[in-house]
Amino acid sequence: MPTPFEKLVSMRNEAIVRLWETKYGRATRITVGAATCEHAAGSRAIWELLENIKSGGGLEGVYINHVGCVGRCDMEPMVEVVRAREIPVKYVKMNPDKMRRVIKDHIYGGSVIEEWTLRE
Amino acid sequence: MAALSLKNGHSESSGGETLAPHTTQRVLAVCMGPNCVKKGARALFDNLRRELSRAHLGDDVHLVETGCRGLCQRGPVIHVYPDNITYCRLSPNDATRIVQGHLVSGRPLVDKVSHADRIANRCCWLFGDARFFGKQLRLTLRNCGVLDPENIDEYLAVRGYEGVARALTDMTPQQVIDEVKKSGLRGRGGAGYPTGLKWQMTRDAPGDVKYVICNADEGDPGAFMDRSAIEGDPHTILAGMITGGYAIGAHQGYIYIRAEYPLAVRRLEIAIAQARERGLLGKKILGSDFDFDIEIRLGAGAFVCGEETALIHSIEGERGTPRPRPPYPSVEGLWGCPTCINNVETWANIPVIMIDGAEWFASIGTEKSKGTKVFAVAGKVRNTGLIEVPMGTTLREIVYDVGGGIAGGKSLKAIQTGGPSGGVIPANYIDTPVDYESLKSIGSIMGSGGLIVMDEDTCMVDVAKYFLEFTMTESCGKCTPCREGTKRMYEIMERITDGRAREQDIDLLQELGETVRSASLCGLGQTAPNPVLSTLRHFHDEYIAHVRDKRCPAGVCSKLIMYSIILDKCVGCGACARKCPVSCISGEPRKPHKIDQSRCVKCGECLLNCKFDAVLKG
Repeated sequence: MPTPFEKLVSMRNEAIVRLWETKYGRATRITVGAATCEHAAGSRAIWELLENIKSGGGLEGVYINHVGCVGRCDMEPMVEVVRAREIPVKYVKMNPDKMRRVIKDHIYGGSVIEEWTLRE
Repeated sequence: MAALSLKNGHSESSGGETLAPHTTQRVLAVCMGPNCVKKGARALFDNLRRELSRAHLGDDVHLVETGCRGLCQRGPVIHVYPDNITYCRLSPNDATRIVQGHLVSGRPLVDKVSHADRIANRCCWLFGDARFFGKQLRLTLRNCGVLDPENIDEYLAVRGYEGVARALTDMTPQQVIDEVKKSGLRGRGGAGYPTGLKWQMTRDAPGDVKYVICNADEGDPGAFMDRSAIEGDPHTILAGMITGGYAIGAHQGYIYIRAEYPLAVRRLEIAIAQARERGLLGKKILGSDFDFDIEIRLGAGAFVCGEETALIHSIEGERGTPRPRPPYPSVEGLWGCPTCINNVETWANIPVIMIDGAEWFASIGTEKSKGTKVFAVAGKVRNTGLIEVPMGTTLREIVYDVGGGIAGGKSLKAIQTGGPSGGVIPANYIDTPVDYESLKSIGSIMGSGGLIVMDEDTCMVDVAKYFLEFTMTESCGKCTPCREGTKRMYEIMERITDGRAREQDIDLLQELGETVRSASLCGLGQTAPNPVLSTLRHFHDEYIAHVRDKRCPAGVCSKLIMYSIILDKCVGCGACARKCPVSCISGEPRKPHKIDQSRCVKCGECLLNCKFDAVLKG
């Protein structure tokens, strides 16, 4: 009989492998803030845009997911873009129009739109 | 959308590069700190380079050297981007496995993944905003904004439920309680009662059936700590409650949360369902003999239901009114059974203590206040937001470093903590460290975490009136001092801000406040006068100005504001007269104008439109 701890460790290892296959193994990931505050700031429109693009066959191989809020109320909605071989980028005060440009310039074009990123 | 066909954009710009997992481009960062080098980091680096070229990955993987990463005990260390995996205790021979296993086959080396990292502060490197995050230590918020809250795999992957498993595997319930006691954790709902002691009392209370409750009835104006914590990381709350249930001998837990938090409720429901599916809730958790389940109870949003006895009444289906204590809920709580009630943030601290250890937890903070505290920072500060700082951090660090200072170049006047139950702290106390005792000694409280920053344009009398109005309407009406006292106090506050108050009203206000504070049954009434009493203490002059001089120094109380025209400066352009909505400004062209005070509605249009600074507000 495995102990509860051993059970949990094997559960964790399975979870890591599953996450690896579905998420972390992807070259590009987009993470959209989705807490009440983010929704109030308009993050749902961004999420719907991404889902629409995906269901239309776009953003192939790109993983999209939700996260809670990170506490930067005045910077919401926030969108994070992780691309291969690059440090993750956080975009702030996003809206669907800005998201379209991020997809075009950053995700496909490879150039970060500096002025929209989280900086001091 | 015709202008941007995303699919085409993809195939054009990526030039045939596929996005399949196995050709993911990565950065392999090898720590070259002196300790890692001593343990063979250089040989590891060379081996990695050789293996990469042998696997023809030279173009797809950037191999870089980094400075010391501070994990010297566990070197050599490498970090893989963008997978965000840290490997530790590597030997030069591991290079083959890393390249073949992780980079080629896409399977991380589970046995070498660093689990010894503190689970805190994982988000900092992700955000690149050192000023905001640098002074923070995010223990309970460690996963908020980092993990997908609706996917249990993500929580499990970051050592989720490990504390539960550890307790069930090799700790007795008493050992768990001892660990919590040793950590020095105190209730985060505001009162600061030692959590371990509360658990011990519930465990020791006679009775076969016991309950644990998570108090998520967050109702302070401007506070959103619990909501964000649940929405961002619901599993942490569950893990804390399961551990608590095991420690005190309960088999059922309830989360009491207001129905006006629909997203938080949904995330909790999803989390509970996923935990049940994985055998982390329900019968025989993780194959042990321990049964525990959690249900959600929705509240209708009455502020008084955050008080523990009122909350218990509400769960029982009764009217949410408090009852006298003792008996405390730990002896006689839900349905008469011993019950342990803790706040959301308190529960969220439990997994941290269980995983990183009580000793480490107790090393953070001050002598009597251990760990961290979450604050919802609002008001006239540049970066409003949800923050978590170690106990003992000064208000100055919170306002100026994390908060980025006062917005609009104004000066700080006061900080309000604890919401309607708390008090104001004047600017000259800004170097006060944040802990339970320090805040209490200057007339405020830690509270559950509301923190409102006020600048010179804030009228302290008006602020106190606002909070008093809140508690007055939220009083359940059971005790006369609270029900009638707050009402009478509010009437005096109205007289003061309207300019109808007499000087003895200030003494009456003080006396009433002290009576309400000492003669009310529950925390709501006992703390309701705090905003008034603390402003009376620290901003007495402002009350005097309102009462004696019929003047609001901050220019907020509209009935006490008077606009007048400075005759020397007025050129008689008539701009103010044209804008005045009630036409109470008159005068001949090119001669000084005059405001008819009896008809003025104090809208301030004249002040806004005068180009010669000739309108005086005061």
